[in-house]
Amino acid sequence: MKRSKQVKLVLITAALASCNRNMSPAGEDPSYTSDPVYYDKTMKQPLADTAYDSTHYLNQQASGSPLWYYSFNPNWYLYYPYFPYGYGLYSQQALIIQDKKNIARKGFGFGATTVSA
Amino acid sequence: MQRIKTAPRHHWQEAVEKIGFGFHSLDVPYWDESAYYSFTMREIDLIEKATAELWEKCLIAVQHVMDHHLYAQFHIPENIVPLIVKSWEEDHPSIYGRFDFCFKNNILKLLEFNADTPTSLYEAGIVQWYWLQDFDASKDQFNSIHEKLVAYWKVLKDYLHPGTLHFSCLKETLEDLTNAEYIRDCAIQAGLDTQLVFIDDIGWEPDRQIFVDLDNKPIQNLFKLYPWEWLATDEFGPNILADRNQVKWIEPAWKMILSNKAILAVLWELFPDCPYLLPTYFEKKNLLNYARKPLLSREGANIDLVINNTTLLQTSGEYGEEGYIYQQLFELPAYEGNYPVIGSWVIGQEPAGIGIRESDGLITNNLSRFVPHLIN
Repeated sequence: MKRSKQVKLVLITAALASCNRNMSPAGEDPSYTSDPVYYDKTMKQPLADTAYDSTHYLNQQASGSPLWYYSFNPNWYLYYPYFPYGYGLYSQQALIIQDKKNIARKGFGFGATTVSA
Repeated sequence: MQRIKTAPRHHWQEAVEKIGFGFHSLDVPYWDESAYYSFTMREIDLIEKATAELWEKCLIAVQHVMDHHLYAQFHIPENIVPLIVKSWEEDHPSIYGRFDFCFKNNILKLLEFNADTPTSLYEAGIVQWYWLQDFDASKDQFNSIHEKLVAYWKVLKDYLHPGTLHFSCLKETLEDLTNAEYIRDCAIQAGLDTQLVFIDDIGWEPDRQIFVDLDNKPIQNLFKLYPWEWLATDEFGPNILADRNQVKWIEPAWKMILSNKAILAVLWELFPDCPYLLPTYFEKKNLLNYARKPLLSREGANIDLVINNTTLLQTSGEYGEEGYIYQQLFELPAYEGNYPVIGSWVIGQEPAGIGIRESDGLITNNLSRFVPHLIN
C-alpha cells in the first residue's frame, strides 16, 4: 500500500483556505504586528512606557515566546542568554533594546517573484 | 502508465479551495482533474526503486564534487564553498527533493533533480489525495508525503538549534506561500515551534551580526523556499558567513551541488551503468539528439532540444551565462498531445510519492498542469 493513512492540516486550512485565486496573499501574517517602539542609543534611562517594563518581557519569556528578556536595574543591565559573549559584558550596549533604526532589511529576495520549480 | 479522461468533480474549485489550494487556476488551468494517470503497482515499484537508488548516488556525487573541488564546473563562487563544506561535514539536514522523470515504454530516465526549492509539494501530498477520496477511495496512490514530512521533522528536531524554526518564502506568490506554509504545518504537527517571515523581511542586525525576524527575534533555524544561488548573491549573501548564530538553513548549503544541473554530468561520469541516467556532459561531444540545459535554469527556461544537430525547440529566459549541460534526448511520451513528467519525491531520505506535471509540448514549463494519479 502506498497511500497516505491519515492527513491532518492544522495551519494550511486555517490560514490559506480563505485565500481567493488572487496570486497575492490578501494581507500579511497577523503575527507581523510590528513593534512601533525602538530604544535610542542616546537614552540615559528607560522609556516611561509601561508596556516595556521588565515584567512585560519576563512574562513573554515565561510564556515561551521570545528568546530574550530584559531587566531594568540601575545599570540598565541586559541578560540575553544566547548572546555569544556571555552574561554581563554588554551592560552598556544594553541601552539598545530594540534598535529598529539599525536593522537592515530587504537584503534577500530583491527582484525575484517566485521560485517555482 | 495510462492517461484516462474523466469528469471533474462538481464544484471542484470549491473542493480544492476548502483545503487551502488557492492557485488552482492561473491564466490557464493549473490543477486539471479532467484526466488522471493510472499506474500498475509494478510501475510504481520501479519509480520507488529508482528514487531510492538515485538519492544514494546523489550523496556519493556530492562527496565526489567536494573531494575533487569541482565547484567551478557548477559555477559556484569560491566564497560560498566553505559554507557548503561546513554544512556537509556537520551533517546539516535536508528534508526533501524531487526527481523529475520521463517514463516511456517501461523505461524510466532522470531528467533533473529539484533538490533545493522543489514546489508542487502541496498538490502532490494533499490535493491529489483528497481528489482520490472523492473519486474512488478504494484505490491506492503513491503518496505518503504528508506522513513522511511530519515524521521527518520529528527526526530533524535534534539537528536544529534550540528555539524557533522560521519559515520563509517570497512575498506576492501564493504558490510559494502555500508550499512553505504546508511544510510549516507539518513541522507544527511534529511539535516544532515555528514562525513565518518573508524572505525580504529578514533583517540583519549589524551590531550583533545576526539575522532577525520582523519582531527582531534572532533567527536560529530557517527553512527557506528560496534558492541558494540567489541567497548567495543577494546583498545579504556575505552575512550568511558572518552570522554569529550560524543559522541552520533548510535546505542546507550542500544542496547547491545537487540542485545544479551539472550534477547530471557528474552522476553520468560516476554511474554510466545506472539504468535511470541519461548520458550527460559539459560539452556536446558525440550527441546528435540532446537537450541543452543551463546549469541553473528554472521552469524550462533557456532549453534547446536538438535532433540530428538541428534545433527543434528553444525556450527563452535569463539563464545560460553560467554554462550548460548536454543531456541525451529522451523525449516525453505523448498522450493525445499531453506530455507528462513524473515528479518523484524523496522525503527524509526515502521515496515518498509522485506528482505529475503535464505540458502541451516536450518542455515542461510554468504553464504545465498538475494531473492526479492512482494505482490500479
